[in-house]
Amino acid sequence: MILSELAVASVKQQLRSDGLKLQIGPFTYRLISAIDAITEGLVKLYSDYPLAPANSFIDYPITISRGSGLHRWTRRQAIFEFDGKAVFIPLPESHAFPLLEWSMNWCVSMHAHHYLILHSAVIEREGCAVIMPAPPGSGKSTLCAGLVHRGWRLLSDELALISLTDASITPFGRPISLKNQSIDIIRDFVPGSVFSRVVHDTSKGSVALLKVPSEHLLRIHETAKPRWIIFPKYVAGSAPQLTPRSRANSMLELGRNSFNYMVLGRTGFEVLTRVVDASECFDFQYSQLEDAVKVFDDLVSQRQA
Amino acid sequence: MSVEYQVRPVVQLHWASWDDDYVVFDETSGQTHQLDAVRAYVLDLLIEAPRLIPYLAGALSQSTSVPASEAAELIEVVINDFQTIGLVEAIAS
Repeated sequence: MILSELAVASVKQQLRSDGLKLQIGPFTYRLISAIDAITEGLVKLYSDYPLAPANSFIDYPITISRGSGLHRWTRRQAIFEFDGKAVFIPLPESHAFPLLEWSMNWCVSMHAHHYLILHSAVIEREGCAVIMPAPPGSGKSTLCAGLVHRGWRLLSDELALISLTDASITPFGRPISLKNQSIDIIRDFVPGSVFSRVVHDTSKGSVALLKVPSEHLLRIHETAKPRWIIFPKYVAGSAPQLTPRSRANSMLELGRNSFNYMVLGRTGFEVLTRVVDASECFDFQYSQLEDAVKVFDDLVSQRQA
Repeated sequence: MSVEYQVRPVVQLHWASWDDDYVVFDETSGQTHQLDAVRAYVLDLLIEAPRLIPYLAGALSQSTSVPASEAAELIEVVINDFQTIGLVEAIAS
């Protein structure tokens, strides 16, 4: 059963009582919140995700609660609680849905040490994955959103989950977080795209979340092998430029972009070595999404040749 | 009394390499370091046994294109780098 098969009133009721149990890739979340923006966001963006059976093991119990005392009436807050404990500082209630997304990422990045976890977008075509690590502001999510609407499958916009046994990448496709000008760029690039409400004045500026194409979710249990590591950078007015880069340096950068490379010790090193062994490494500078699509398409066709 | 250099006994190194591009992971500290070919060569010699700087400089100039006149100075820089990141220590010989 998927979320859209539940009436909105039932979604709301579950969120306000025992929790809504959602299966997202390899993880089961139990979500509790009485905040209407959470219901609205989930119904709009998670409609194609399966509901977990009632007796499922819950990996991550998340509550987005309202503040107590005066905050119930004025300057309302949204508070992320994990297993009953507040984790982040409270945010304005209007930020509740982005807060839920950040909380879902936090749960995985802090706990899922049976994977090597990189802070990176991952997309796939013909079984081959592109890992795109990059700092905020690099245009990673914009590029990722554009490519997954031009033939690439989304594995994740934020977290690359890499197997410790065979270095394959497990999909964890969730809505793509876009910020500021990127929101309108993708609205124009992907006609008919479905977004959450735009939330202004967050720590990242204005934020909106883009729904994942439903056909990608049908393949959410299909892993992919790393094939390319590409460090994207948006540079206004630049022509597309794909430049080979050192594998050793790429490995170090991936390690710096990992949430648990240090936690995993030698295993993390060995897995990351396998990822880099299997991948060509590039820097990629771009300003236009259509240019980027062509460059990425060429990667695939040249591999086949 | 002269000074030799050795890989610190607590260090446990694991390597990866691609052409002349090297990465070394120290299991004890959890740190990963990128090495160029010269640094990888010197570290490899130090793994074999404690070495004097003149020995390392001679080996380097014979095995690479680094001129003998520059090798000792380069080795001192490399050894200093290794000491800074905790891979190598000086011992009296």
